Amino acid sequence: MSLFIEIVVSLLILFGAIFLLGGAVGILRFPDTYCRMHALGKGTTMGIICFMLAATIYFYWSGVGLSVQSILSLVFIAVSSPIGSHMIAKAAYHYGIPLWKGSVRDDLKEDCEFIREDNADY
Amino acid sequence: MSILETLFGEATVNPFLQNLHILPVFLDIAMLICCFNLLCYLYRVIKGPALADRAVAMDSCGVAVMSLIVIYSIRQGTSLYMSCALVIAILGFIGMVSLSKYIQSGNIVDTGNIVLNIEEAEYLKDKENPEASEELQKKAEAARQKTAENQVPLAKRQQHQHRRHRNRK
Repeated sequence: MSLFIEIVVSLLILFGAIFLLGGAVGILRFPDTYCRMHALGKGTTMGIICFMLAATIYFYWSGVGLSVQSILSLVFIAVSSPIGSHMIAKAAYHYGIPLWKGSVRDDLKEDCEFIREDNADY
Repeated sequence: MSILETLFGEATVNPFLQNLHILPVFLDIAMLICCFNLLCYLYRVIKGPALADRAVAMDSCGVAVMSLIVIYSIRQGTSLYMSCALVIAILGFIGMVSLSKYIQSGNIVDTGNIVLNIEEAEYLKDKENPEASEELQKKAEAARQKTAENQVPLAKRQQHQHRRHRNRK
């Protein structure tokens, strides 16, 4: 049983590190601001969730006790990190950072045009 | 016994972790990967062409530091460091939201702007309106100057939109 918990904690740590590495490679290699945000938003959220789960299990297992702070930061990161990435992406779009030339769809542009036409009537 | 421990030594010895054989190796691997991630994020902070890139990369630097704190606290065997991770998470979220406000509208909190009523604005729409009192005209002029001083990024943004509009046609 002890070996099983150790393997679970090790795999969680490894998965978290791999997710963070995916985000880092994405931010190095992707061509566009929005692509980089996409890679980072998913990678860092998932990676830190895995790390915090591993920490919680390890502390409970090793006799330190139930670490409430790690559970709290897990929940907080899982809620707040996607919101933050979304707000930054929306601000970047409205600021006017251009899309990559290989981008296929831009639905927000049509919506913005509708809003602009509506505002032009008044 | 892990590699990093033999290389650099450890502040305090965690007796629970010394009995394990798989976990210390994985902790070393994860620590090295997190250091590499931190270097990647710092490269994007320095290089990044847009302000949004730098903001997101700086927030991810916080996440990498959080993961390093988690690994270090597992190595040390105490859960005291986890509150540092919680504080970094909260500060990162607040910084992210305020930076997005700054990118979008040029200022974080709208204070000090002179606000006109809708009636007053309608009243002053044609400048030759003789019925408008001098006080109201002064107020409108002050408001125009204030917005022209404050909102340089807004003008830049409108230029961007204008350029995109022209390119589409």
